[in-house]
Amino acid sequence: MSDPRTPLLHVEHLCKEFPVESGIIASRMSSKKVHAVNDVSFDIYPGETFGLVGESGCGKSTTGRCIMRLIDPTSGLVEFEGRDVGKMGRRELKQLRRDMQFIFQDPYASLNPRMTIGEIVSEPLIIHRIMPNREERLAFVRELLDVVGLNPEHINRYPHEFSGGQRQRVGIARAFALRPKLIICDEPVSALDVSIQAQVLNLLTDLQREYGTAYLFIAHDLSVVQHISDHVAVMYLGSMMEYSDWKTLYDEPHHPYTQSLLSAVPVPDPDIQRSRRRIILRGDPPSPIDPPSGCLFHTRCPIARPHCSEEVPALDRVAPGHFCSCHFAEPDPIKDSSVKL
Amino acid sequence: MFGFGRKGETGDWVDLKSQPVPEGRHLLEVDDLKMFFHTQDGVVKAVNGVSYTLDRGETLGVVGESGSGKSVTSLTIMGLIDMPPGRIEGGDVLYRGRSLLAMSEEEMEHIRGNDIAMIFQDPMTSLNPVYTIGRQLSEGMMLHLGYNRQQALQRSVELLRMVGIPNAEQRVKGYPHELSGGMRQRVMIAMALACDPDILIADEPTTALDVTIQAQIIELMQEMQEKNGNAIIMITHDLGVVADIADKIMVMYAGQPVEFGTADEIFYSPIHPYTWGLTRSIPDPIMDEKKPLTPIKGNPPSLVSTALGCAFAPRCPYATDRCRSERPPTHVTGTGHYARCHFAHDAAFVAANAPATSRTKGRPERVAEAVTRHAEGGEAS
Repeated sequence: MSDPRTPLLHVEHLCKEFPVESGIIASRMSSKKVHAVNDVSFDIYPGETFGLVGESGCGKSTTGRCIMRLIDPTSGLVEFEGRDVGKMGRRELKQLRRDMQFIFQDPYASLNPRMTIGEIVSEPLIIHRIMPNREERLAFVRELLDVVGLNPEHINRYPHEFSGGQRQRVGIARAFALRPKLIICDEPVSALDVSIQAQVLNLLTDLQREYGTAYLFIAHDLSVVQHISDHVAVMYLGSMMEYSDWKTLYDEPHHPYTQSLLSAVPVPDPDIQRSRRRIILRGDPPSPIDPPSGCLFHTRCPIARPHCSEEVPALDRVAPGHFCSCHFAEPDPIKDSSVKL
Repeated sequence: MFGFGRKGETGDWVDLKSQPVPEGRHLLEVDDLKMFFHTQDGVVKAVNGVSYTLDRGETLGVVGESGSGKSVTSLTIMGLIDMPPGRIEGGDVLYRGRSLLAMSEEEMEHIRGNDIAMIFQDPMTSLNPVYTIGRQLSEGMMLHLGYNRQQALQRSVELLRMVGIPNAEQRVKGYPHELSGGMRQRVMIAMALACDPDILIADEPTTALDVTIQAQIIELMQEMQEKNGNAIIMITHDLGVVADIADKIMVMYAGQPVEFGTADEIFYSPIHPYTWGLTRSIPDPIMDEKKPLTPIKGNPPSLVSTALGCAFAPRCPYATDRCRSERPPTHVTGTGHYARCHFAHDAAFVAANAPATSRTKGRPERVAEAVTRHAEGGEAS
């Protein structure tokens, strides 16, 4: 996706399959596989936010894990600053993870309950031997806690003494401790209350502005992704359906799946909610073990034609910087239709 | 479970559903309900003075963040709170003029499922994994309606078909794990509607589901309401979910209803700063440029603390010394719209600080115009 700048992260034809049968022999003999991620390509530029949206099971988290090599992709290329992540050895991977950090969804499960928040936030510094001097390190951790909006005096408290939103701030402080270039945020606000969600989103935006960190923002909530992202990719059953900058995607969604996702988001405004056109998809997403032939979305698509079940549509360019994988894609400005009565 | 020996037999119990609502009463009246939990750490005031009324065909949206007491309120109505540690400290719940709080456990068994049914957030944990779907659906009908197993199973198939489950004849023999989350929630709705209850309480019914499935479930609940005429209490943290289905909305904070009104009043002329804060925290779905969100500062309060003043004062940007020291009275407008805030009666304060809505912004203008046209047309005819 042409852009004169050098991407920080380059992902090309990324695929990840999981064997369905467990056990060494059974998993190799069986041809049944879950196609969790299927031919996903995108670039993330320094200081930008790339949003990945989709319903549960669409492979968005698996994509994030493959990029960090928490799991090994089946095929495809992941390049970080021009270096192939798949070919990295132990030492290089350690360096990579200094530049690439992770923020997890569940602020309850992602913090060790037996460590104080000071220990949690300083652990990356210890692992990467950045500040060997304990006093210096603790002073830095205090500063970090202050930056993310926690009281530095609480450095010796344990995670259970904090609320969900505060714990997520601890997770953010830990991710920022190494001043990474890219942070993979996997549903960082979906476990939080609305009022707290807004606090954390603003914090992430402020930190990005200050440190120039790029984010891969994975979420199922379209309005949150729209709010924070520069570019957005919509995934369905492991494949990318549509990709563009945030404004185009929300103003002129081409793919019928994007259109239906946008129209399904409840708008907290009865006038708009009652009057706008709604596309309610029928049925459930198909199983990724046995994905539909042709276009993956054709079983639920409101505009599907016979051809859709035969040929897989390519991710074609519909406008500069706007890609869509549909045989019959047409712009359908949901926004305009939302105000038509 | 089965084999209570009560099949087909309701004793001398009069089915309240068939009784008319007494003159001047509502289907459900919750009056200053207080439910406190007595724990080692102190008294948790989970529900502290909740009041509302509900009639058949109406939908009440209960909106609040986690720990605001929205679920405990409905569990109290259903008599599902363990006492102790819970204790009702005041108020009453009247269903068709009869107090639910005064009923014996045996009487409540007739109410639960038959008159008031409930669906929960997590459809996996609320279905029993070791019983077939048909058997779980039949249970309530055999208990309340006196059906035999054959009749109940037959009705189960009809119910599953009604909530849009394909292959219903096969599904009644299946188990919950064979269904997706959305399908399980459909089974829960079928089960809740099996005895044609007056009131359906839905506690975050779509929170665990994907947006496209959420839209399906909300649509289904609306369809069922149109068909059966039941009332719905929809508990949610998402203002968007109640936008098009709620007639009335109660916003809860720290165990108290801070604002109550019709959906129009809550969305277009809210008067409580917490409601404003909630609205401002949500990313604008129709935005043209990126603007930072306006979150509510701080964290939700502990329900143990016995702060003197307004519970929202520590997080309220407009709080004064009076707010911190004096409990705000309930300000009621002429239409029954109420708010617990010292400044709710101050129209100038409200006008100056309330968030802009699509109606005040004139955006989308066409909507506002059309609504006016519609209102005028409605009055003319």
